[in-house]
Amino acid sequence: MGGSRAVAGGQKQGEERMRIAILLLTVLTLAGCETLKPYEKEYLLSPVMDDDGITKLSANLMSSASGNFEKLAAGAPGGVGGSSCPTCGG
Amino acid sequence: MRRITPAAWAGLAFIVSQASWASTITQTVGAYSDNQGLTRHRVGYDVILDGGGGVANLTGSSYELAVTHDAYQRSDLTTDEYDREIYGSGYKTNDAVTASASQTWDRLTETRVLAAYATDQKVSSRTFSVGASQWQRSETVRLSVDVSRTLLEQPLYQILDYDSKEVGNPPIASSTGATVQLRHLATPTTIVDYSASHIVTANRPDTNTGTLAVRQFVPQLSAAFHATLTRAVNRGFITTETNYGQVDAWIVETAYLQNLWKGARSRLAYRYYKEDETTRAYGDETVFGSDTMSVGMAQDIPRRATGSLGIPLTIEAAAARYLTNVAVAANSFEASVTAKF
Repeated sequence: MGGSRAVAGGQKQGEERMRIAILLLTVLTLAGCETLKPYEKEYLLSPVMDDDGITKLSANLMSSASGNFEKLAAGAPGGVGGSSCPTCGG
Repeated sequence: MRRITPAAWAGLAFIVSQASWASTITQTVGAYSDNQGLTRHRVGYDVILDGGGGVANLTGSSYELAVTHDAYQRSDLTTDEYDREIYGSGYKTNDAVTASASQTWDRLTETRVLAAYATDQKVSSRTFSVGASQWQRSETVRLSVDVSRTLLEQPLYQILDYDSKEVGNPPIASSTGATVQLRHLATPTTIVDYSASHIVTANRPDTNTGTLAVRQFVPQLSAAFHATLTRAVNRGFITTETNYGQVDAWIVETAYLQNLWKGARSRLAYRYYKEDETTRAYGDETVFGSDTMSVGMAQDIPRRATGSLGIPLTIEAAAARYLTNVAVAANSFEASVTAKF
């Protein structure tokens, strides 16, 4: 019982550190955030940087099969996709 | 679930090809086998209708319908008590259908909705999700919020835990999750993604997940390095309404993606997964780990090269090898063809 409490306590500290780290990284990133012009996004629109292109090159069948062995395989609900330059047209 | 015949797919393909919207149809086949005696074959179809506007038309919508059929065959039923008890056979099938729609309002704001249903005749799940995202700071930062709810129906299956108490999932289990994601186009060659999610599950402690992902394009190589770090924590009070204890996991994934010759690209990836579990009964600690290596390749075939077919195609293939610290070894291979109309 005492062991469980110690695990839970350590876990709370870990979660707190994780939240702080994510918040810090976000703030630092946004603080140094410079806007990109559409013509500067050529490389970001390459298929090797694009969400859809990456999904098609991934082993999706194995990803779903690993869930049989891993309890947190998915990690989180599905995210979002889309282009890096929504007003570039096309 | 009733099967959709090839004639129906051909009809759907004809309708899609006649529509004024851009559309794609993808057929996927795949195979999986592991040293636990399980083999799996998959056939899937994915239809996307894309009515996204050009620069002059800043609004547009996209609709997607995906259907997947998986067949499982277990060679030795004595190795899996759950399959023997619930399915009574080494063979089972799973059918899944997902329908989603997204609407872009001014090229900068997107709303989306998704509904999914999957069943293997004994266990079924329903998922519904809604989300929105908005680009900020001259399309350099995108904030996304998604909310989802899943309802899982399954037969009651209980086993005796080490303290002689019966444990098992309830016949109806539900979970609700929320995800906030921030995408930052940090430099002309760098994308950074931050993601945090919180999932509330009826019979389990809440799950908190944080992800940091970086994609770096290297112009000199026409290639990109991707790295993703995920931390998931599912700890708290464990009742007898679940068949495993408190868990947390680290997931690290790295990938190298290379643009090859015209219309071709490849991906080589490695994924590391480590899971720590504290059991419900006596608080024992166990560690599970796995390594996954995967390789994928895609080739675009232009319209003129497809002869009388007259439509551009994309052919994709991927293979993966999975190993765990409990002596599980698995292989998978999948291939798909996408036609663009």
